[in-house]
Amino acid sequence: MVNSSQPSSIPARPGIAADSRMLEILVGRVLFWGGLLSILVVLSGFGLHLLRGAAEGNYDVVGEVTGPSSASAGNHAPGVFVSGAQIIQGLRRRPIDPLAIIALGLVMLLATPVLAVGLAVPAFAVIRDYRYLVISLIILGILAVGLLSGG
Amino acid sequence: MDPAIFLIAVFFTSLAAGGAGAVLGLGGGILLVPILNIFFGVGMHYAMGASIVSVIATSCGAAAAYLGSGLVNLRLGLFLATAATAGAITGAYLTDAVPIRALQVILGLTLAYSSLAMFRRIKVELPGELPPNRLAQRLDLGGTYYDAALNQHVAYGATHVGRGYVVMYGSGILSGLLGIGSGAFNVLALDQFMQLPMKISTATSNFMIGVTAAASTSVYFARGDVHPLLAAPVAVGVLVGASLGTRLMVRMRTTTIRKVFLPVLVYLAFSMLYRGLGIELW
Repeated sequence: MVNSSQPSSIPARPGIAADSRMLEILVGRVLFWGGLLSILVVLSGFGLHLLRGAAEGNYDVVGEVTGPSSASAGNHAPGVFVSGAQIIQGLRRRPIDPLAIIALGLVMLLATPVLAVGLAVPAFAVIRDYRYLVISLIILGILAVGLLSGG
Repeated sequence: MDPAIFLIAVFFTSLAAGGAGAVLGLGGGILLVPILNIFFGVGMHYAMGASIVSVIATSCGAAAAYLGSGLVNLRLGLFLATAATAGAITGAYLTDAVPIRALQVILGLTLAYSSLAMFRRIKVELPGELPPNRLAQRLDLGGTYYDAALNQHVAYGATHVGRGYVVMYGSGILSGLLGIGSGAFNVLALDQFMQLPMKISTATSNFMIGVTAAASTSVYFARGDVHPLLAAPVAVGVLVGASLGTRLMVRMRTTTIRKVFLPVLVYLAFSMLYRGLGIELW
């Protein structure tokens, strides 16, 4: 199964089909760029919030997060977003709500591993590895349970 | 405290926790949740909500690098992720039912165990011959990787797959319950039970914790535990800290660093335990 006679200058995995190596690289790229993009969105929202706070006085985040520990249903702190609809509402507000930008970035971050597993499904179909196609679908199903029960 | 100063303090603390977590191989979240709770007075649920988001960010960064260098066993990671993600959702729902004090006790114990495991982790470079495992063969859980330190391609297999799978479900529960990556328990499954090479288990665990955390984060989100203004400095701080820590680690003697951090870990673990048990020491 292993062919260790290949040149060892690059960290390839001989014996594993080149297809599988492509899949690893694909998943790696998705995680890298998805993570980076999300963090940039988070940062821009955070920066905007701090800038605006400097001009208009600061938002009382300390009181919110040190207050009675969240979040029994229906009783959220004003700065917290609990649904996609709320985030969109905050993004449409003028002037735009910087906290909604942060929340958008956080949702993008959460979606990044989901996207990586999601892309593995067609990739496993292409390389005809149906066992792992099913396994990837099972993970997506479990993630969907989390998402749907979240709303 | 002035909000701006609070946020900047949280950012730098997260930076330090992310750095220390990477150097120690523990992950930033397990350090950060107690620190936010003890020193910043942040409620446990908000601390956990911010931490779980930072776990995804760190995992994306680390897994991308490890996938690039061929150290992540993607098939193994996906197979075990079916257990870990199911556990994470179970754990995230349990968080609501478990009293805060019990969460603090469990976190204290988890931190104590993880620290212990970190010190006990023996540096066996490669596991020897493994008893064959049917499930491992049917699912192609073995692989090969290029070991830069040994300068050779290493073929490896997996054993005790069933046991590893069960531990991984438990690891997912802890991750969802406490808002941490619970990498120490992943490594317990991969390294101790399934007998994978240390580099493979570390890299594969780093990939898995992101997928696992994604499962529970949506539950945290919906419950209102993810406060954007807390999560932002925490996620960015831990991510930057972790990537600096990883780079630093290459140049440092990790055994020395571990000894230096031991008192900090012991202090955090005991503080959490005492808080949970309601004992006032200071």
